[in-house]
Amino acid sequence: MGSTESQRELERRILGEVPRLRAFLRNLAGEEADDLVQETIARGLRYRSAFRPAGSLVGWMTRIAFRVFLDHRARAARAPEALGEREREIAAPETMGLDDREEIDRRLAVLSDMEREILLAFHRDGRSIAEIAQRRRMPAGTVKSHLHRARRKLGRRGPTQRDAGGTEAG
Amino acid sequence: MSMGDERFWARVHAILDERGDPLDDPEVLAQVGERPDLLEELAAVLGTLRRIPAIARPDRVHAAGRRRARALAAVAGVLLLVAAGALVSRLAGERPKTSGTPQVEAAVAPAAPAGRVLAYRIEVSIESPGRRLAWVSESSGRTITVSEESAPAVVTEGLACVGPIRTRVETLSGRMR
Repeated sequence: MGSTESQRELERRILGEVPRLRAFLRNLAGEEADDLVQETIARGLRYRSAFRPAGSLVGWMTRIAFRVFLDHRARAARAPEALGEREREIAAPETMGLDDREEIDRRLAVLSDMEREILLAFHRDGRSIAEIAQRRRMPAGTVKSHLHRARRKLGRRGPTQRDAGGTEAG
Repeated sequence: MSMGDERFWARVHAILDERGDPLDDPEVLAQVGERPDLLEELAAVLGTLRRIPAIARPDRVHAAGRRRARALAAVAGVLLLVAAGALVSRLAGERPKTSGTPQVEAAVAPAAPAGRVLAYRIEVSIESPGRRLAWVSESSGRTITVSEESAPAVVTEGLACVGPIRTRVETLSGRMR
């Protein structure tokens, strides 16, 4: 395969990463994911000559996407915050679309009842581990075990996870 | 899962338990920089946790229902008061010198801050010895006399009946009947 042809093939593979990168960046950046995907793809194409064909394109693009996300976060942290911005955020928590809701439901569905209840008590209701332990009459260490196990399960990629295309070994 | 993974996740959990952001931690960043698979898994965890607060709490859903019911009750109370006022003024205007006093009682409820009355329709009937009056008042200002049976009589006692109050309540989240 000639050089131009291999470059075209790489470009095609980079563009094929869009759905997976979108899901990845959506997890990190929420609604701003689309802009970050665009920037990630642009960087990937710009620096494609740095990609080693023997390496994993998935890993390479994921690292670029993460770098783009960190840059975006740093820029956002430096940007002056409009007066009242914080209050608006508190007053209006992130809203979820139907797809998001289904995704969350799917992830929560793999948890046991105990894991789900403890996870929601901590991350949704804002209860402390000590408070949950007291309510459930169990040691704080047990609450932590359930909580940690629940979090790990949330991160595991299920077969039905949306936007889970473009898998590549590596 | 390697020991490295276990240490990584222990670190992540410890930060999350303190309600911190693992992506602010240099150790975590260093690890995920080397391991895109860990990074994707961590992103999936953080993405889910970030969206969890948006899941409605069942008790809040019930509380919203209770708030709507309270608002409706308050509006009904206000309407009852309006009806009672209209009744009293009508009695005062039409009644000849009587010895009796219509007994009208109305519960006064505080106005609901989240709702306002858009329209109302009140059916009122007054019965007294020798006389019966019935009319309908609407929020448009229209008053329809349904029936009037006049007979010369001295009113010694009054009774007011306020018919079913039909309300339409507008809340911040939409309209309901």
